[in-house]
Amino acid sequence: MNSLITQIPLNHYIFLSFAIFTIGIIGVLTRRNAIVVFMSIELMLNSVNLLLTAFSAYKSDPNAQVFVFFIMAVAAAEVAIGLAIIVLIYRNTRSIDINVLNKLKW
Amino acid sequence: MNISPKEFLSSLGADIIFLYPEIFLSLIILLYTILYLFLDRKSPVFEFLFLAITIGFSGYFFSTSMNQVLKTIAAGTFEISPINSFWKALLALTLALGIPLFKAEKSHSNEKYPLQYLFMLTMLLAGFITISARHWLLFFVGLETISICSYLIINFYFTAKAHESALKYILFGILASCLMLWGISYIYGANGHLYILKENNCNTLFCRLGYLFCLSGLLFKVTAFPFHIWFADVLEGASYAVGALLSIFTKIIGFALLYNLLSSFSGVLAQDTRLILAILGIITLVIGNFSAIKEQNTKRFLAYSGIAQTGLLIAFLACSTPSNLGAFIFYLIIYTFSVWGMFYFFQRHENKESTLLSSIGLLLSMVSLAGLPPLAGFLAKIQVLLGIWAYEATPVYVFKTLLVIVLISTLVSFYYYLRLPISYIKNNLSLPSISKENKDFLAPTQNDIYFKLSSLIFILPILLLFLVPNLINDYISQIITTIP
Repeated sequence: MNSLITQIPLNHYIFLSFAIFTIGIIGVLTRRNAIVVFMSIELMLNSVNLLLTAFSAYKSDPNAQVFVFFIMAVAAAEVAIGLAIIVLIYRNTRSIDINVLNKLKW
Repeated sequence: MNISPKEFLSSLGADIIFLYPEIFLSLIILLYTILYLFLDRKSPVFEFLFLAITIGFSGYFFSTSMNQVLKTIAAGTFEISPINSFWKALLALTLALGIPLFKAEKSHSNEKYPLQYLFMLTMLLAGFITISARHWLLFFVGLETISICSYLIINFYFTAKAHESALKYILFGILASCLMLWGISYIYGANGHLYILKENNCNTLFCRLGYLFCLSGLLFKVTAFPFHIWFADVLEGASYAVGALLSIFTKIIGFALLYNLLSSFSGVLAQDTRLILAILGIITLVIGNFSAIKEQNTKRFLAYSGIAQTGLLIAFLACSTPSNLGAFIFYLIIYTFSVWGMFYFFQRHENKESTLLSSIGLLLSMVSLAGLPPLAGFLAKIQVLLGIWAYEATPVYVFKTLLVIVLISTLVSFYYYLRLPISYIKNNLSLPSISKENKDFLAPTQNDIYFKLSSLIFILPILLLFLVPNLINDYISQIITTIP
């Protein structure tokens, strides 16, 4: 299994995860729907996970893979809180568009 | 660096005695949760327990920090040292000082408010772990636990604005922590392990880029330049108590971690990081000060003045050496008392409970933050300015520009810190803007003696430490001698 992963050069993993990370950032900055913004954030976190796993496989060191599990757990907790806040905002405004968040000066 | 689980457990078992404070605090949090489920939500037990724990931990860490020796336990992932104990003591003290504000600001639904204390205790535990962490995993999990608790605690104000500011905070927070994780993965790729060593130097751009990204998570916590935008919005939506918590507790954690990280850098990495911090400090100072001048909303004003203070401290961090760390610590202690005081007296005013004592208290704490003589803030600021003055580094023009900007912004800050209390006294105790909609959620008039007592807690230290700074200076100099 390990050899299968390491057949692909490490640079490819770095470029791929960089591309996914950039897509995530662009999504956060341009999308107007709060749930899509959170999905973009998940994309960014997953690109980090991919990068850590790739490094971990190349160094044959399992520490980073454990780190990935922790990142997943923390990300799940954060997104759960984010969705709860979105529900609270939806009750006030009947919308999950980021543009309705204009009570405070941006 | 690879350790088998068996070795790790035996190493942990041998040094478990050093982890007793953290284990004890975890048990207390469990107890608190059980009490919350079974006790009446308005019972005073919650406040007393919270106060006892925070003061107890503060006293414990202050008293034991002297005779501790530098030691890493749990297979090098957790560090015990006098300076770390000092940071932990300061964090516990910060939470203990917040009690008068949280008590005066009963949230919309009274039943929920013990949960705020529960989240604050969790933040304290996470702070203890993060400050001692010598492994990126502990570091990341601790920092995120603090963030998650702060996202939750904003919502307890139960207004549309509070929810909006919570959403903005969580979006910015996750973005910053994503950048930090990206940095950690680069560092892992370059170093091949996840430990935060005592000596970090890297010659490749790849690795330096990793550390740069990694700083972003901490710069978010201390509201420095690229990540300062959230602060004014979040503070405007949050209540005074939570706003003060965000501008003191998370900032102290951020600065402690920034200092720990910066002191472990060496060679080219340290030079680069100092240069970047100096430039960020300049920009943060300019943005904070000039936004604070024209700001009319009280809470946003508090946020921008907080950003300006961050700029000063970031600038000082860029020039920090082990010998002038004392000024940094002294500044943070004074900052804690002054900012809690400032938020407390503003809250009194918004509660329509302002008296002569509260307006004088506001004047004193803001003058202390501005750094004028009869108060301890003067001593703190002059030490910081002298530290920046004495620092010699290679790109001279950057650090001299830094000094000039710091001096100018100190002058500017006199204007906006004095403007509010003076107009406050002049215009028959009225402030530029007080939001009317929040008034329903505030507590009715409190006991007068209780108010005087809590005002004294905030005012007395900043007066006393100006007259006899040796009260803490001896302690600080002893702490500093232990740093290698």
